[in-house]
Amino acid sequence: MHAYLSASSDAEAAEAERQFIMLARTGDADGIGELLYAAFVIAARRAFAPSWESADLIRFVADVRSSSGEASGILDPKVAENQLRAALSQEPAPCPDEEARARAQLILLATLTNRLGLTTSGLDKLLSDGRTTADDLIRTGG
Amino acid sequence: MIMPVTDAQVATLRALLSDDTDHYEQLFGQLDRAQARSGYTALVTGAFCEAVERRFGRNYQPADVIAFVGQVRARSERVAKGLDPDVAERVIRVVYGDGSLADLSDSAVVSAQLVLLGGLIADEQLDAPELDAFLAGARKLADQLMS
Repeated sequence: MHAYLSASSDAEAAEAERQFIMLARTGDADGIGELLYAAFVIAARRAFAPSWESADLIRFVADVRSSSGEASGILDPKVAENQLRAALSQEPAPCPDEEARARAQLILLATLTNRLGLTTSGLDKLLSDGRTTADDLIRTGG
Repeated sequence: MIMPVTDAQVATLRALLSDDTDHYEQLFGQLDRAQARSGYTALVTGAFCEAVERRFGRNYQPADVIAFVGQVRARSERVAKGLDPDVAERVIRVVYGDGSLADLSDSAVVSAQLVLLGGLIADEQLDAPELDAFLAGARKLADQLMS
């Protein structure tokens, strides 16, 4: 995941995303889905909390999709907005297929970390916090 | 027999684009349903194509379309819920011959066109004579579309 979040080009990000989704599919990386979700929620809350409106999320997703030819084709705007809304409101999102959800979280997480201006150590800290939360999620079955 | 766009249909769309909701609803309620099905729909499509080309130019950029749809949907909760971003982007792109709307119902297409048209015209900030000129062009295009 660090490789994806540190990618400096669409091509690098696409390769990292491909590897990430393959890992998630094959089950070779237990807990990676929880780690992604936890890191995504933490980053979303840092970027948007405490006060946000739906319009902020719509603009953000449109911005992500319009700034990358790669993202515009593969990031479903409704799925992305719903994932952000769920992360910020703690309400369950309408459940799309797992791959679309993971893709949305991964692309949005990359943009959020970029917007938050995280350095390498900041990224490490985010993933470390995400790991702690993910471990809790796995332990509690949440 | 194909009927050209009527003055009543133009007046109805004008009221809508002027944000005169009460007048629009009154005029829309008075439209001849059979004529409106072809004439008013063609007028909306003609106006939409005109407005899209004014906004995005001859060589549109997909990123501009995505950004515009995001802006329109961010203007109100009602629009955000009612305007599907995928449908909205597709109805704009198809004006440039990019893609197809074959899998969408006519009502879904016209609904998206109307909402986007409202956003496009609001951004243009046309005065009354400019709006009349815009609608005259749209009417001409609609008549061509139906002929």
